[in-house]
Amino acid sequence: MEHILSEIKSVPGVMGSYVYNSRSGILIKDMPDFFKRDKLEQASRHIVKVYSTGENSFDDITGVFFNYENATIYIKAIKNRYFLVVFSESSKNFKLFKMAVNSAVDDLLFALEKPEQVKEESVSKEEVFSAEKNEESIDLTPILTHMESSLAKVMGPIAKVVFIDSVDKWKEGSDPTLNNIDNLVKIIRSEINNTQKEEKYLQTISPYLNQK
Amino acid sequence: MTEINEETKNKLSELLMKIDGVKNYIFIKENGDIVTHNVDQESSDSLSSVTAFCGLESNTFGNSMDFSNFQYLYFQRKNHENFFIFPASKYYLGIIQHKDADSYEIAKNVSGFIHKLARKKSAAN
Repeated sequence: MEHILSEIKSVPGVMGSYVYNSRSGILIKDMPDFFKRDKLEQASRHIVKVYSTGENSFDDITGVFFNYENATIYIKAIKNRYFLVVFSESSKNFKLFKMAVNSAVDDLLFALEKPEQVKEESVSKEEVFSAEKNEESIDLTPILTHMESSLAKVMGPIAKVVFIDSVDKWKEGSDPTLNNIDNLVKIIRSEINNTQKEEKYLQTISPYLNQK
Repeated sequence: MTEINEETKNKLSELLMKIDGVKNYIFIKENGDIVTHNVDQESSDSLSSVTAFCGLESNTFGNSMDFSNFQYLYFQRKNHENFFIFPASKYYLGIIQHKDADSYEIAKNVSGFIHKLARKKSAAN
């Protein structure tokens, strides 16, 4: 789960985040050191109370923003008693913030509900990526990993979601082999949808693709 | 706390409804007593309690984290009629936004409105 919180932290203005359980306290955190665990746990009770009060009054709460002069706090339920809490310097870049948090909550939910499945999936992902090893004697895993990390450089924290969707589309439309990797690049370029960023992305991945 | 007269309540109501994106409002004392509102009677009791309780809890949270000056909180809702709570001296103001309104703009405009009232009040004193 650490990587999910570190992705949230990469959003401009975000100071850090943590997963809080209303019974057992902080499950995992990626916060600056000056926010001590004890203090966070004590304080979190208040915002969880606010969240729960809101849920009792409105049946469609998706999150709560608390705005102070020097900080914005966002709390969102992941599942029963589990909350994601994000500390930010400002809430101006709201769109990016919202996208990153929603994506993180999905990942956290998955990680909390099915830790075993996450492990299994990561194994099967490796297997899919290297499925053509026998056919072409080339393992696609390092290439795809590089393509994903390069995408993060041009798209930021939403890159992970975009990349997974793109790979799914690629697998649906063609065999996931190195011979068809251009199709994946096309799909990703259409997702980036910005000429300058597409060029930057192509420059970064081309040394890997040239292995063909 | 001095009582707010009917004329002031009406004026406040008129000014609040002029703010872009405001659908409904409820203005309460810190203890949850309703000063004025334009929500239906059934919702007013529940909203006044939520507004007072959440306003107080947000203040406590801010104090315990050394965050200065609680400005507002809002509940993000699927139907986009987000519910805001603003502290205003010894009162709280609850606002339900129109579903097509921009939450950032509402926060800015209502905060500006409250600051303006506070300035007027201190100038009058």
